Amino acid sequence: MVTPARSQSEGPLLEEEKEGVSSSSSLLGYDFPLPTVVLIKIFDVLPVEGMLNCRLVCQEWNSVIHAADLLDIKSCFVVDGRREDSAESTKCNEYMDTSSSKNYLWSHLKLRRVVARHCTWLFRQIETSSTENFTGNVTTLELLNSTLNWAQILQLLIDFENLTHFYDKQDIYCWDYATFNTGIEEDEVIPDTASFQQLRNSERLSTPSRLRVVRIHRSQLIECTTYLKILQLRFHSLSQLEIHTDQNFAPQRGNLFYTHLGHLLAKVGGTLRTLCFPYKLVCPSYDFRTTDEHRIFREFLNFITENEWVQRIRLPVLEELSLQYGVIPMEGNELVEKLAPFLIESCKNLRNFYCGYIHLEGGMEASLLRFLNLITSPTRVRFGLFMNDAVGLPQLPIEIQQAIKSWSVCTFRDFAKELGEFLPNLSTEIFPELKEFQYFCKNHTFRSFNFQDLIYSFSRLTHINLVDHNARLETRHSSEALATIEDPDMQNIIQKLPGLISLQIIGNMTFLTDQGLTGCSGEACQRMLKSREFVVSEDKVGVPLSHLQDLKSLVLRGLGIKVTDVSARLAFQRMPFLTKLHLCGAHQVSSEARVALTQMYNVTRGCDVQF
Amino acid sequence: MPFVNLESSDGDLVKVDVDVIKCSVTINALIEHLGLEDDNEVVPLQNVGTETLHKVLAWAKHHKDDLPSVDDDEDDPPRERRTDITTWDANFIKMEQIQLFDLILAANYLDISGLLDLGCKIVADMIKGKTADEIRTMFNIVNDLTPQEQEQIRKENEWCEEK
Repeated sequence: MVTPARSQSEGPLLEEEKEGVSSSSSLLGYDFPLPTVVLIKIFDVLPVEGMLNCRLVCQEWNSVIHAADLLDIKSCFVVDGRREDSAESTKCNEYMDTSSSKNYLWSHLKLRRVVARHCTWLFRQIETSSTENFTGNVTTLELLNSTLNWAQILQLLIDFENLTHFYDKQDIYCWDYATFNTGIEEDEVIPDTASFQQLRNSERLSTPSRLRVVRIHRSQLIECTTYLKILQLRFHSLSQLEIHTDQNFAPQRGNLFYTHLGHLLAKVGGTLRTLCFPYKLVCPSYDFRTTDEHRIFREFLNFITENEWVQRIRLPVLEELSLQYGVIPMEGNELVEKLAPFLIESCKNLRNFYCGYIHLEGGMEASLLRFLNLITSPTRVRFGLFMNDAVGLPQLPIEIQQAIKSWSVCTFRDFAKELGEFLPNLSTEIFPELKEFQYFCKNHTFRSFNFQDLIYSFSRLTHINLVDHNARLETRHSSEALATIEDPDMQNIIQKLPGLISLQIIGNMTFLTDQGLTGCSGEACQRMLKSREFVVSEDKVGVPLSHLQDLKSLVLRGLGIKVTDVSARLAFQRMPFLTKLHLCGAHQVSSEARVALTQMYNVTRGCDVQF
Repeated sequence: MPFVNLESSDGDLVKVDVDVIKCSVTINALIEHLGLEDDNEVVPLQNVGTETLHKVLAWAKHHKDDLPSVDDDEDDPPRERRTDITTWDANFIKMEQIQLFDLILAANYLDISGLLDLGCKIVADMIKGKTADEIRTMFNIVNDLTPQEQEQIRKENEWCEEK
């Protein structure tokens, strides 16, 4: 007879195994029989909310969750400005004063919609924490739509001495740079204020920083430039830098940005693996060729040559480089003559290179092809393609077609072209890699663009941005926008694009009803609204938006009064990966339904729900 | 085809196709160790009852030809994998709590990761959406947390959310 060898994973469970539970009948009435290693597995597949309830079950469960670090691995400490009182003594202040564990449980601190006065506790902690390890415990600091100014952020970056990850993300088209850049001019270096001198003298700036990952998305380029200035001060071991804005900028502003980017790259070049800049989402104007937009990318190329980046800047471990511009002019051989040498000389380890959105006019595709032939394996090149109603698309060689990952279309004229005129033969065969699509329109509609054709042709799209330029600002009323999304449009998106990860529509959705969002018939929606009982009925005419189970980000800006509690209760349920849900303009949705939705996603789900 | 004899804790012998039970890291290691020269070799499983053993084998037989999980197309952004339970598994796992726990313990002991994952998912589903009180009742667990401890945990829970 032999005895099975114990596998390693069973390590600490000997005792429990010996107890033996082979006799099933002895189970009830005894201790919970599953060993620690199994408990950990169970807690690990639970959503955070379930895990939190498990902490309250018994000592053993609570200590298993702690011992396995599950709380810290799966969740983070969140201060949400919307929850805070306006008074000086905030809820978080109170918690910090009365809780025995304070923030020692979490290493990830998230500040959502927070303004400086919500953070008095934080700065107080920093000042008094000489013996306590609150600041030392934080490794990730995440700001979401928060308005701290640069000086406060610099202080946090320095005082959280073990910080490895820093994010500052803002919603698109939200401009409040005045607050952020207080006391620092665009073309200035960091001003030598009293507090900054103190920092400098304390020598904290000269000790190396652990910061590795920085992701910035601020609306204004000025703010991004300020961040570049801050990062130069001390943070020289970055491995990932993503820095984005969503507003077009003038070339002289670009020059400042590139200058400081150059300074920073010279310092972090040895460690940087990922670099993305400068745009997240931007809509070039119709006559972009005569405006600055067309020059911003060229300024960058000039900057590379004039400042001799090829000689000065070495990025030996850079693997990902993503140049994201609203429009990239293809004129002459600039890409080949200026950019390619830099990539070849300075970025010898480059694996993925993305460049978009290229504005390709007839005759220039040969130049793009040369670029493709220069940047060879193992570097994989991907392009974004730009089109507007002034320029069509030339016949593309197959190598270029296969490199197209994203596509941006702008239409501005009253009688703009529709999709079929841009591209007569749409299909995945022609663009096998196309995953992302954005469409900006002015004085035009999504429908006359024949957006539906695109949906039918590219069922594998993962990112969609539809923006009516007239409605993009929060202050504008959505009904000013011409571009409407109605029930059949929404149903088409839901049914034909099952793999969507991000869906953002900024436009006129005043005609969109519950039927389009929930897939329930209009009568059924009426009935539910009257009876206040929200159950999916038999007579379904479509599918609810929650059918998009991979969705991570959903932004619908410009909803109207036809979207009611029925949608709030039935359209957005149970999307497991959703981290951003912004529904703007749905004024008929009752506060109860809003709270219910916020509860469902926001309580412990980490999803930013906003109405 | 080679076979191996498994002896349950109830003393019953079950002859099993090696190909079926290869999903068990524990038994697999043992077979390799033994070299399987003798068809009459008996492997005693002190912690697995006959009923549970048969369930384990039924699951193993159904999943005999499962491919090891492969990575997705590298083009796709890394995403949490969807963890759907197949209809067969869902029907298979419909059993009393006691039997389910026995099955999980057996899967853990025999180191069958697929079956263990399935069992854990089912228990997690049972826990999901329930209050601490309901969970304790369901599993017959005694609450040994003091009111102060509970209050502290509750307070902490209020300040956290998913990453």
